[in-house]
Amino acid sequence: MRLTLQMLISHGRMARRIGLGPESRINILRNILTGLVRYERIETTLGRADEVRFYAEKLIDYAKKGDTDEKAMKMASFWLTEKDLVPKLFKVLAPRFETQTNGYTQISRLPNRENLDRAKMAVLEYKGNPFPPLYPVKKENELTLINQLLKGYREDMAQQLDTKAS
Amino acid sequence: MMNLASMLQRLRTSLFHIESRLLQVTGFERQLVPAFAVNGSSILPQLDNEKEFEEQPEGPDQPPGFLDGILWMAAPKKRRSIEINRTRRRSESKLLKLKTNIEPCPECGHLKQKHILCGFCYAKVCKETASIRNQIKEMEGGPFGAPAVETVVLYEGETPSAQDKDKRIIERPRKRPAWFGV
Repeated sequence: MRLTLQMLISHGRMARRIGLGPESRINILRNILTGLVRYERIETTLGRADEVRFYAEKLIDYAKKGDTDEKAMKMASFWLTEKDLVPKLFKVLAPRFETQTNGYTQISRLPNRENLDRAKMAVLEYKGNPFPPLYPVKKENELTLINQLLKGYREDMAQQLDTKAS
Repeated sequence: MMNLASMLQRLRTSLFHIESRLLQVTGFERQLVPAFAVNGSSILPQLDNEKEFEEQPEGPDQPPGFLDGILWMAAPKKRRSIEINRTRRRSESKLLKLKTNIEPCPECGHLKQKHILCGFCYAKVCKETASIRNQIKEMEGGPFGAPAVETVVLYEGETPSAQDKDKRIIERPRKRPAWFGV
C-alpha cells in the first residue's frame, strides 16, 4: 500500500467512519433511526446524531409518498427493524409533516458525557413530539414593575387620545 | 591491548612473507603489486610493497561494517538552559485557553455554554419525559405496541381540546410544570 501524505491527512473528507465498515455503519444508523421513530427524542453522540439526521429526513420523504407505494414500503421495512413502527411512520409522522418540505428533525447539543471519554452528546428529535420542549417558551410576566408601569402609560395615552378625539 | 594489536600485525606480515616466498619457490607467483616490481627468481623479500599493501587497510583504527551506525545517532549537544526551557513550556500553544462562551442559564442560573443546552434544565425535562414514557409503557402493556395515532400529554384539571380528538391521551397526575407551555 502506498503510504501517501493524502492517507494521513483527511482534510476536506466529508464521509464519517462509524463502526467496523460501511455495512456496520448502516446497521448502527438503522438501529438509531428505529429508536428515533419509536421514542421521537433520543440522546446520542453528536456525530451519530448528525449522520442519522439525513436518513431520518429522507425516510419521512419516502413515507410521504404513501404506504401503497412499493419503493416507500421497501425502504420503511428495511430501515425500521421493529415492524410495529411502519404503520406509525406512515400514519403519524408523514401526516404530521405534510405542510413542511424539510427540517423535520432538530439537533441540540448537550453537555459532554460524564464518562472518561467526555464525548460530545446531542439530542435528536422529530419536531412536534408530545414531550416537554427543550427550549422552554419565554413568557412575559405582567406583574413585574416595568411591565406594570408600561401598562399604566399605555392606558394614560389611550385616555388622552379619547379626550382629544371627543 | 596495544601490544596485542602490534603482535597481530607482525603475525600477519610474517604470514604474507611466507606466502610470497612459497609462491616464488613454486614459480606460481602473480603480480599483486604495481608495475615497478620485476618478475625475477629472486628470493629477496619485497618489503616496501608489502608494507604499502598492508598498511592501507590498517590506517583507520576501526573495525569496518556493522558498528558504524552507533556513532551516527542523535544526542543533545548542550544542556538546555532554564530560559530556553521556560519559553518552550510557557509558549502560547501550551497555556490554558480562555473560554468566553460561558454564561448563566436564564431559567435556572446554572452556568452553561452558549451553544449547548443547560444541563440542569435538560435533566428536569429528562425526568418528566421518563415518567411520561413509563406511563406510555404501562398503557401499551407489552413490547412492540406502538399505536398508529398521535400522543398528547394532559395534566391535572385539563380536558382534551378539539385538536386532541383522535389522539392517545396520557394523563399525568400532577400540576402542569411552568416550563411545559400550553
